[in-house]
Amino acid sequence: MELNIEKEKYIITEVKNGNYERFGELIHIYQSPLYIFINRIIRNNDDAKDLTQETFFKAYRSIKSFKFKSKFSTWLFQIGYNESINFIRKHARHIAIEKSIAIKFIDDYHIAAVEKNELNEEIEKSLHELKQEQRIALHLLYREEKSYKEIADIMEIPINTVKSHIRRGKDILKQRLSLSYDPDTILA
Amino acid sequence: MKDAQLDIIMKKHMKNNSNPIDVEPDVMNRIKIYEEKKSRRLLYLEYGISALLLTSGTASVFIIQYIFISCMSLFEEYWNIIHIAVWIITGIFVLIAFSSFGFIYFSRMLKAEKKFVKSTL
Repeated sequence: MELNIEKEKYIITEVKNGNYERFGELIHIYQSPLYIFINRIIRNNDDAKDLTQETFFKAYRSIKSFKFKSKFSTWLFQIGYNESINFIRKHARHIAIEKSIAIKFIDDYHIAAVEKNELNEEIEKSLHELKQEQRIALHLLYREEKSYKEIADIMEIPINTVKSHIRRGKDILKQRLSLSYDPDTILA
Repeated sequence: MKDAQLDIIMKKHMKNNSNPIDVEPDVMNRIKIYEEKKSRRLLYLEYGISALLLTSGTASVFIIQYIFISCMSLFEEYWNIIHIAVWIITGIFVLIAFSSFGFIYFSRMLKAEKKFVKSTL
């Protein structure tokens, strides 16, 4: 569910003018995609929920700096991305320990959320094996249908780097999935 | 596997992945408290400026009174009466100013506190 650009602009202007209750409409629209995106980065349901809240709160506090130069969703995802990266940096040691203990529960959310079948699990495992930047770029490309330019804005990296992450990510996924599945059978 | 095939598979997979979440009440509650705190901070700033203006205003009145009395000392025979009258007028002015400021301050403070307590419940 996405808002009409004009309506979204109107709501943001209202919020900027002090009608903070209208921010709820933006939260309502973007909470799920943002949560899934953050969870894709940090891979922990509870932390992702907290970070989603934090991202919305930060977005609200700095909404006056949003000048409509990009889509609101791009700006919001950029805040979410920075929040997640800061979280990972801050909890790097803790996350590393947790990872080693709970390796089999990795991406439990994503596996649990999708239809449970071998292919989905295989895709999630393959995604997990990608580098963080590749995984994030592919998520934004496929799930959020963002352009390269928007992905570059969110991740604050050059477009060519985005292209390179996506290219490498796709190559790894193709290689991995081709080992176990025939694409014609999957798509049939 | 071709790129186009992977694109279809991945899009389908990603779109299939959805998990409803509701952080709206929590975030809105946090925003509400933040706004209340912000408005309270503004209120305190407003009070601070008012108090400063009131103090400087009162000081100005006393300075004017001093100048006035100095000039009036030229009329020595009426000096005592003028002196007392000026003191009474100044006293009434200060009393009115402080009581109206106090009334406005406490009524607004009470209102802001009530609103804040209500928002945190």
